[in-house]
Amino acid sequence: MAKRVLAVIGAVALVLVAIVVRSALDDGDTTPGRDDRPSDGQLVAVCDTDFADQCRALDGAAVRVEPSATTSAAIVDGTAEDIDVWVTTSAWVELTAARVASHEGSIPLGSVQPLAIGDVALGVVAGRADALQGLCGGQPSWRCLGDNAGRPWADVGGQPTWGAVRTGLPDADTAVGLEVLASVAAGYFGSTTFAANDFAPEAFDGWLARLAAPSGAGDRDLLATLVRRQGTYDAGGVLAHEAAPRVELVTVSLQPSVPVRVVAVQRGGDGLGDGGALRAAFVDAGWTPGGGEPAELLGPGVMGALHDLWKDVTR
Amino acid sequence: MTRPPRTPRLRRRLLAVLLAGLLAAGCVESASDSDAADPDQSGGNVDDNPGDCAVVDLSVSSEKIQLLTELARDFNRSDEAKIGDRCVFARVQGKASGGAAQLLATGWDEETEGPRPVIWSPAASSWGAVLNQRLADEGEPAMAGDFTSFMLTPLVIAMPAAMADALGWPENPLGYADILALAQDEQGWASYGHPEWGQFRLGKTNPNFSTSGLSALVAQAYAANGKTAGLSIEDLQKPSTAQFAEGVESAVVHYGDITMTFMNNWFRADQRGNPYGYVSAVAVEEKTVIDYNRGDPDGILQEGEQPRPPRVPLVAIYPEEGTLYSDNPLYVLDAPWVDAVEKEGAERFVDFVQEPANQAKVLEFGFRPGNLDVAIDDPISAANGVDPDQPQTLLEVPEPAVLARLLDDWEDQRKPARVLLVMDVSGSMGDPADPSTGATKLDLAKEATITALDDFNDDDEVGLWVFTTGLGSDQTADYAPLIEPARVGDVREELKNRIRDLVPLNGTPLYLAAEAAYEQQLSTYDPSRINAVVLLTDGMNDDGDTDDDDEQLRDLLDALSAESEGQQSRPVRVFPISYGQGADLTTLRRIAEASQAAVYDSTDPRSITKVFVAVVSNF
Repeated sequence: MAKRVLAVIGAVALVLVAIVVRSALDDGDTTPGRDDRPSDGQLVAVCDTDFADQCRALDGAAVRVEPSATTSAAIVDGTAEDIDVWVTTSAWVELTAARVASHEGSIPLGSVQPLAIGDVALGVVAGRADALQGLCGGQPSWRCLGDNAGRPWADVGGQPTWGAVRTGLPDADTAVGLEVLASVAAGYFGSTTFAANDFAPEAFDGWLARLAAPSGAGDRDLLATLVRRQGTYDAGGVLAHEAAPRVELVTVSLQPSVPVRVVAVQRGGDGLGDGGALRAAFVDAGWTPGGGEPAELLGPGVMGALHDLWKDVTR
Repeated sequence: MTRPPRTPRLRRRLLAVLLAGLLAAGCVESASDSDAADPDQSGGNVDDNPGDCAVVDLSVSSEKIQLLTELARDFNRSDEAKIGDRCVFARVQGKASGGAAQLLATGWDEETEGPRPVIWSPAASSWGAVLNQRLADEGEPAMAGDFTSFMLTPLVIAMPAAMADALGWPENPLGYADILALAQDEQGWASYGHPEWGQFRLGKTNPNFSTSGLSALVAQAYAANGKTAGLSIEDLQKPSTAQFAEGVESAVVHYGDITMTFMNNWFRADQRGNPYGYVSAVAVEEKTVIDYNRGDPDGILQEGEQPRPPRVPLVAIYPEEGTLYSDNPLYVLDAPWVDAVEKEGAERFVDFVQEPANQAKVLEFGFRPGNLDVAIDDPISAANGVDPDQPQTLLEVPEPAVLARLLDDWEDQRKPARVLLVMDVSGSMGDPADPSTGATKLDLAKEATITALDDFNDDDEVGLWVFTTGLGSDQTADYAPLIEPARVGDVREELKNRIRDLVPLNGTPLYLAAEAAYEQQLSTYDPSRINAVVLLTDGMNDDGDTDDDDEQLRDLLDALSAESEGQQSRPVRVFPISYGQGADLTTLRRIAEASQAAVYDSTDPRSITKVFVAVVSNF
């Protein structure tokens, strides 16, 4: 475990600090494309799609919203020079930092400010919570959902009209989506100490493919699907603080626990300041402030390999 | 029934239409006006004049035009419609999903189609995928990107409560397998203790035109294969899939472009005291069941109308095999004609409609709100025949290639038609209709009819009559059979040639000709087909004697009503086309209603081609 922590720390250490001061905020949001950087020195912030609402707090900034996978690829490719601030998760930062370190021509990342923290949980459709508990020996888990994925409910203690056992996963190109994927993998292996070479064909690969099948390339709004599109899934990977208030769902904690650490990577100057407004927006949305030290997450290389695997099995 | 393959020409035409994604000119899903063959409607904003504001044009599917018109009006008066010192004006236009997808892909002519949209809201996001696929095929960038699904409604099977009860529902869940069993039961409802209800009859819209029809077709195919996801081409190639489909389709009364035709006819039958004889079940959106049970079968209360609850309410059956949602996306289009101000205005409108107060209005209209902060509540309740805890199983939307194949196969599986085209060749049909070309009304009607013949399958049967006064060798006949209904594959060219030869002549003996055509179809009724008359006329009844007009009309309506419903009915549907300014739309509507069909309005003769497409969608 110590090696794992060291790896994470090492990855974070790859993050370089860049100092470019930008200010000049004016009225009205704009959403510049990658090649149309504002000419007036306006702060350019790129936010993960999961954090679009919170990024409205970046008053005066030119905010672009896109999946973290897109931003990460641009940083690694060296085509993201216009970005001053990137709002994403520590997992994406770690994954990107590892790739930056091994890719010539990449753009240095920058300083990392923790903003907020949350937890991945299982959101179980309330009407099926009892049946799922029965199926999973009292405690629904990724392992149980994956092992039973696609089986008719009629065969495993549910109603025939429920169809097959189906789980929803978010798009792993996004901030929360990658963390949910990490949680799924941790659930399968029972720990966070697995390595990329544990993804043996017909074992984890096939299991993940069956689990991920109902949501295709990832559900773009999983909570809304669980709550509003009844019958789509029995359960899904969600943020605990978003699922908990929903009467339509039963929130189930997962082991091993995978925290979602939201961070702001500041590449250009200190336009973000202390990140107070942004941090407050996350708190308003139910996140816990701060983030502190990175927890025992998967190593950067493992996270990248896991993401690649997910792309393969959901293609 | 297994049909022989269509002609290559038709197949190519279908593929051109379908492979690109469910394309159909003049498509409609759930238009609010059952008489509107042309689904394109202005939103009718109260404040129609945008003044100096930046205009955000919306193109929306017809079933939500009233809702979005109201929301646009509220938005235009709100602070959200102000960007700095500028204002934004949202303007709503109704446009069928498939038709809009086609226009966006091939070029939107503002002269004929109205303003190009900044926001597009089809009934379901699958249409967005269709558009992007079509653009990609042409090497063009996607236009429909990320979207907000601002409201939802699932596809259900609507059925009178008593009929559902006879089938053991709700204790016994029902689905497409039950529909198939009912359709194939020669005893019909007698097997369930109700011989007075006759045979099981199903209402389904044409899937090339209607989102409801398409969703029902997808659900049917999944049910045939016992799957809820991953429907494949291989699944569709199984003989059992085709047999299942043909079995279900055999119970269809007719198809059509809009579900509201069924709902209005059903409601009228209910008001006459017998909602059981017209159809037994119709595939519609959940919202439609709510509207019907609230006494507003077409979803729009016109000025002066009051809702009148039906005598027998409908219940929404959520098919046990699973169903699909219409997710009503709002796409802010990535289109070259959308400038930055319009885009920002559009995004503000999208935000506006998701505000809780506006989502409450969504709920009021019978849709499920997209905003999770607005709870699903009345009218989505058992009191309106629907169940907020349903559906239990959702079906995966098939890949575009599978959808295209599904639609292609449907052309072979759908119930065949037996149609008599009855064309008015009175003198007024020689009046000019299009100043730009000098074409007469008859010229345009001939061209549209000839084009429409290509939309029939080879195995459909089509005949041709004309009517005017002074026909025949002794110049006393009021109509003339030119070609009796025969297999289209055998007579298509002959039909076209006879149509090309038509010339305008004398008076308009509408009632006599209509009744004769109807009686002819009735006397040769084929229960395995959709039996119908398509009656195109540009005038009022005029046979030279006005004294007996009322009696003739009464006789006609009595004859049409007598056979259109009931245990032993032999329904022959009469679909009138009210053509030009002088046509008697009111009377034609009565004729359509008496036979439980629909009237189509082509007041502008230049719309006749589009109208004919909609008429033929019934078959």
